Amino acid sequence: MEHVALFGIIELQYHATNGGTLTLSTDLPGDAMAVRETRTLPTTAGSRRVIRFRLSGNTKGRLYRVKVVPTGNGIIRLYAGRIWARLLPSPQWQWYAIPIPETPEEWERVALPIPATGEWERVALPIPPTGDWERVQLPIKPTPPNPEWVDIPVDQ
Amino acid sequence: MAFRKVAQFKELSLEYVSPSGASTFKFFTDMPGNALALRFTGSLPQTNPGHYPETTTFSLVDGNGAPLEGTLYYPRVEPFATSANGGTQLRSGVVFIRPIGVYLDGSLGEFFETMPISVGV
Repeated sequence: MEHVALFGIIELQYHATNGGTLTLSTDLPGDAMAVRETRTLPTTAGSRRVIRFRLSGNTKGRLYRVKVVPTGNGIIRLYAGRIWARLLPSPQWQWYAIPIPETPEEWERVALPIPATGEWERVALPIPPTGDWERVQLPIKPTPPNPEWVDIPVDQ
Repeated sequence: MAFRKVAQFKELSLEYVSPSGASTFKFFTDMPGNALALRFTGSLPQTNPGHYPETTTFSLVDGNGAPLEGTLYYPRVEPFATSANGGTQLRSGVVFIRPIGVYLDGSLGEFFETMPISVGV
């Protein structure tokens, strides 16, 4: 069973260049979602700020919905939000986070798509290799081990 | 409801070699105006004649000191006009970004709205 909640305060962390409008809708009374609270978001000076609105005191519902709209052509950067509520009949008030997509505080490191420069690479130059020592016969006519008969040319 | 994911750009570092003179760095994004346009111009100083890479970091802020923003971006490096001592070499680069959770542009009719939420069940 869903509990009925009483809403007391709504808080936003934002940055608006031209202000905006915050509306809070609930489903009670009437069991139909309807705008119950409307607040003006002032322009912020330069950076984000936190703003807190006290609600009328009798804004209640089983469901609630938050809507933020920039004024004119302005820009709104919405960083976080929460709502101060208590579940009836409990007397305990507490903050409930509004599900706003988170903006990380840390910067993310993204590498640019630059082709990497590699390590030193060994590339052989096209020089013919120097071989081992090779035996080459010199052009000297061998001396026979024994004398040979040789015809002497004599006139007949 | 806004569907785009807008990022903020904080800084960009380049590791490079530019021995003939200073090179030029340019950074383009599509915001504001939803068209890619030049948002930042910087100088990559001349590097040493030994061709050892050096690193330069650029702070990507606008005239008000706020980080540049965009859904698209691209960097561009233009080498020194003459390359007597060698051309420009890009060795690596990194950009630091942060996506914004909810970015609403009133000129596009954008708004943020939650689903009906139950506080307690």
